[in-house]
Amino acid sequence: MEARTFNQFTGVSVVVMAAFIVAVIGMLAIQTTPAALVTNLQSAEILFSIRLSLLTATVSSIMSMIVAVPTGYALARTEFPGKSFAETIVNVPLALPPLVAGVGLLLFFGHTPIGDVLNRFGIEFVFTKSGIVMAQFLINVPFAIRIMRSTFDGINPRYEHVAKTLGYTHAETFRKVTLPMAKNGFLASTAITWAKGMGEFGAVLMLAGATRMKTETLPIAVFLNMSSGEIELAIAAAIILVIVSFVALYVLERFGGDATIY
Amino acid sequence: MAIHRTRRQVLAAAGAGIATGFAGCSGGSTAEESTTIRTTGTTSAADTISILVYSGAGLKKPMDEIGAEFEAETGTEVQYNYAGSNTLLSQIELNKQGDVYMPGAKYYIDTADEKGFIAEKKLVAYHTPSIIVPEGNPAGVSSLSDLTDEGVDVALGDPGAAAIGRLGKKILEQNGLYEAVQQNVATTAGTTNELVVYTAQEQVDAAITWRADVHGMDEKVDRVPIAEAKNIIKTIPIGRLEFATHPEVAGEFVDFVASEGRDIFAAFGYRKYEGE
Repeated sequence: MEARTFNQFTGVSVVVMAAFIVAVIGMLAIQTTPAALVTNLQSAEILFSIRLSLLTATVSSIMSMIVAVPTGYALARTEFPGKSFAETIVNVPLALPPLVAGVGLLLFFGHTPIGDVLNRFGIEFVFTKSGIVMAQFLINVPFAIRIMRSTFDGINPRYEHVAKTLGYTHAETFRKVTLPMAKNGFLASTAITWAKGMGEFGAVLMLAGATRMKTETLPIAVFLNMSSGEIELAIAAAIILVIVSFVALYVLERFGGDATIY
Repeated sequence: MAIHRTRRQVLAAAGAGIATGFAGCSGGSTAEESTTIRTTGTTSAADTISILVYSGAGLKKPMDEIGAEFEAETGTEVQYNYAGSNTLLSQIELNKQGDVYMPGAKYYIDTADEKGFIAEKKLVAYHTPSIIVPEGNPAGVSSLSDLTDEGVDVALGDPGAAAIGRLGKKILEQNGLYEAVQQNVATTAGTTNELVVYTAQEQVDAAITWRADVHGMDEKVDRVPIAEAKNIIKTIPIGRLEFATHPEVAGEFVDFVASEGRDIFAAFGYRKYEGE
């Protein structure tokens, strides 16, 4: 009997918390009418933001995965001097507020020897679309590495040993044994990286700036339109970001296994 | 039966706990509490009045000094919310809270007045737009039309957020340069302060800001004045908000800014407003 009371008490806290979250997200939805939402979603500014966000998040998540697969594998399978130190450094952007990372990026690619050399070759990150990709990449690649590392950790090395004894090279083993076994982790990692790229604000704001119809990703569109009183446009962009979050959450729950976001 | 009672008591206690928790969190937003936000725990709520002032971000330096002097003279605490003029107007419209609004140009206070937010308004200083360039003028900008030159990176205020954004657009339009300058716009910003930072750091070759923004920054930025005939000079207004929780104190502050405040603005490089 006492147990039932206790369970009811803990159950109440779940219900209250869930209701609170539903209410907060619901507030976004009731700020606008379906007709107005459709109109706003078709405005040139929002369409531009959707396209820019899709493009930049896709490019930055592909870049992140290209880096995350070998890095995650190395951290899971090999021992080398300074490994734990390297791992700590790789994780720093996770703990750093993106806004701060963005300031660092702005200074790094500004008028420094590195920035100047890149500029001479026509590679510009400050106030450009490339800057959006760079900001998303730096912030999200540690997440991708973490998920890939825990994925490779979960694969028994014996499969790889057996494949090698049967005549596969290292590279063949990785391609034909390890990677297929890491499929779910790879999918979850890609989804999270992509969704976080879609939502990245602080670092993008600092490095690429908030210029309408130029570096206006969806989160930047929310910010710009909230600050100029175009609340319905801001809500339209916000609702798309909510949908993106749900999709990513679904993919992670479905394929993520033990991989966690944090 | 006893079990039933315990269960109800537990639920009631949980409910009450959550309710008081939320009441505690939301208490800060009630009018009564927001006027007595204290920076120190030593004064009692009764003897410190504090007013909330929405001020254009570009006016921060003179306004900080004015706020400190007003506090020293009257004991009233002045809390500033600095952002772009239109950003502030959107906040006022959403929150319907605060005591004083001071945007970077008269247009915004007139707009706020039309919406019924302004109880009284006064003028404080002249606000003159200027081109600013990094120290040494790397792109050799000498006039508005130079902003259209090949390879000149320009930063402008966002017309939807900052007073200087709306005005910069207007100045360029009336000189027939807006479309051509758009080709050179590297970035826009929500406040004039960001434009100054971008220029001082040489992230851009030129920006249109207010003349006084770079007062005392000669080591980092140079001014390139806009010819009087091509420029649009604005006046900086200040207004008491209709929903001020302490209308008389807010009124005192408005009067203070429009009297002693004018001299402080002049000391920060603004042209003094001499009218009533």
